Amino acid sequence: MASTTLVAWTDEECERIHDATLTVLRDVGVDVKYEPAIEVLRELGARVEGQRVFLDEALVARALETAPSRWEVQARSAQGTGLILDNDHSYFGTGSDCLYFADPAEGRRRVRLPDVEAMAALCEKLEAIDFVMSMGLPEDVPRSIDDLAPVAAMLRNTSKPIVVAPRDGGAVPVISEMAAACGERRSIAIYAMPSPPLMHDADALSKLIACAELEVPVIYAPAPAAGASAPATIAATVIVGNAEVLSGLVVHQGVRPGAPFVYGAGYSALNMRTMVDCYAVPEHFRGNQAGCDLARHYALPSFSYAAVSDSKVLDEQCAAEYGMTTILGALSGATLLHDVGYFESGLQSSLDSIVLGAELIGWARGFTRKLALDDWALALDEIALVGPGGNHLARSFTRQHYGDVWRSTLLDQVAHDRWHSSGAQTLKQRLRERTSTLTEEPRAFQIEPAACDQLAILLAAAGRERESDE
Amino acid sequence: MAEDLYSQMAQAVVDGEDGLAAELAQKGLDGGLPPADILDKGFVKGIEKVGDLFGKGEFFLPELVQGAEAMKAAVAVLQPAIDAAGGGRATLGVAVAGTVAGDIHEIGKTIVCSMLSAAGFSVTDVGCDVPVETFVEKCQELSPDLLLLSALLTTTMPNQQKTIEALKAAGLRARVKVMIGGAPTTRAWADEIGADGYAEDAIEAVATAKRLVDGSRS
Repeated sequence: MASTTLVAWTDEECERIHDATLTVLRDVGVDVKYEPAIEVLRELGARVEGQRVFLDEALVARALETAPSRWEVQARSAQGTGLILDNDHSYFGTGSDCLYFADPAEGRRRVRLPDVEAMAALCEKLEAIDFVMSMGLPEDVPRSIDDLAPVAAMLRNTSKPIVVAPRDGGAVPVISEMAAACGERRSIAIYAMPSPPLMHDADALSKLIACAELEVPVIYAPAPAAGASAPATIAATVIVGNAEVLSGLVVHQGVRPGAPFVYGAGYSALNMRTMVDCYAVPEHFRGNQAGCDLARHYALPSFSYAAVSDSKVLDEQCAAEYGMTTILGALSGATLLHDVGYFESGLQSSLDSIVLGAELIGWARGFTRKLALDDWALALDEIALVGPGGNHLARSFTRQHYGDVWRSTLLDQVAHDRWHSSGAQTLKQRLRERTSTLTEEPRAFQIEPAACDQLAILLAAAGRERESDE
Repeated sequence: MAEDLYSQMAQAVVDGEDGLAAELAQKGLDGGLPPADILDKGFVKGIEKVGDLFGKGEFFLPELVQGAEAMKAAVAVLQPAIDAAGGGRATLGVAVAGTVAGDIHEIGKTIVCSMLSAAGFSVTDVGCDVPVETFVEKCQELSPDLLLLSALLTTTMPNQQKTIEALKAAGLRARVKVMIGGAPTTRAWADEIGADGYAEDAIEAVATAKRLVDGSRS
């Protein structure tokens, strides 16, 4: 009873990419721009020349062996659902750090902290959203805490697990404390990125090390761009990204073997005409698919994309791209599918777009869900009893099981005259109404006042510490 | 004969052949052609064509960047001769560009450098993770019309501000127009830190650079 998953590369093909990646790590090396990480690699026996580090097959194999293929992330409420980070589960969530927010009243503007609050409160109500990322980087908070203030905003408004992209490793213990103050330390994961091609900067490395030490799951997501920060083929770009992830994994497992690590599938598709790093193009998703195949090959949980668009507004292009990227994301079988509700190539998001993404996730799950193949599902008795020319509508079997399908409440599936007489609304109008209803309804979650106070204290302390460091 | 060589030079830039461009520049010098003519009648025609084809949508980013690289290779060969002849290079302006300290994101800045070269600026790319002091030194050394500061992280944006402050402290601020860019930066940030220009992308960067240079000369 397997769910429907797209496999583009066989194990043999993954092995070929893996071998090529090992050649790169052994002969070309990666730049490690953080002394503590170089120290970890040196102690593991890697060859170090300045900041360039060369890794042999045994080091990579050992890291792959000790990295867990399953890890649990908890929700912060008794009724909430956590995440099982493995290759049998798939979850959807928003993205982080967009610069712009499409305000229904004001239009496109910079993100503010109340937007993050509203987004998190909305996601608490959206069944299809399993984890929450900040959506935006707020401009109305002090720069010293612009990565941490959204964490507090999310924790105040949702009990779902959160994924955070902090500025560096120093933030990881703070975020862990913040989550603990809200009832569950193990309800977070951290996002970090290498710098293509083949480099790890101090911020990314300090996050890898801090996460390993605290056993906080870290998602290491590369983004090499074919023809710009990697050679101009998808295979080569995947090799560059794979070398970045695996070398990051060696550092991470070197710090603490068995600490949780999520393989980021990321492939950047720079439009050579417009210079925009496009999200919803086939090459991006083909590269991501390769990453998911590799993650499965390594038995590591994975991280990819869904419901993203390059359109500047929530229009027909946006809806079309959300449809394609949601089903492709779902089919890839990635453990965590993020950026739901992004448009403008990752620069803009909105509440409406997240609600549309959530709706399409329902559609995609309707397709990829496991199908029963038991005797009852084959229903041979029913086929025989009703026989040729019969009517299954009258059967209790139908009544018992017909509800076992995905039902849209947003996409139009009524006959023409009924649609017309009920206002002839477009998807965009229905979406606006749905989002308004959801945001106006009473909150689905509220943290304890004491936890709220504790968050404020932690945030203020972190801000003071950073300001004194600068 | 010379005309033929000039058109080969232009073509080398259009084809993005940096080795050939350097070779042809040397051939021109060896043949006694005036270095300024080699540049203006040969290579500049090529880079103009590259810019034109990009504008028309026939060329894409790789052709543009490789054209700029070929141009750079030719200028490297010609520069000593141009300097010896006592004439500076006739360009739209001199620009220094780099990604600020703590930030190793280069692609966007490199694209801007190529676009500026293709538009006729003389560009010195000082790379990434560039300390404030290096920007100041380069401004002293090269007296550029423009200094372009890229930052791709909210945590490194303050280094754009620090560089501007350092230019003030060194008494250089009035002599150079400062442009900033990078994904998290905005026009408002540019205003806040006292930059002269801001661009959302490389195409806007060229337009802004031209406007700033025109403004400072008029």
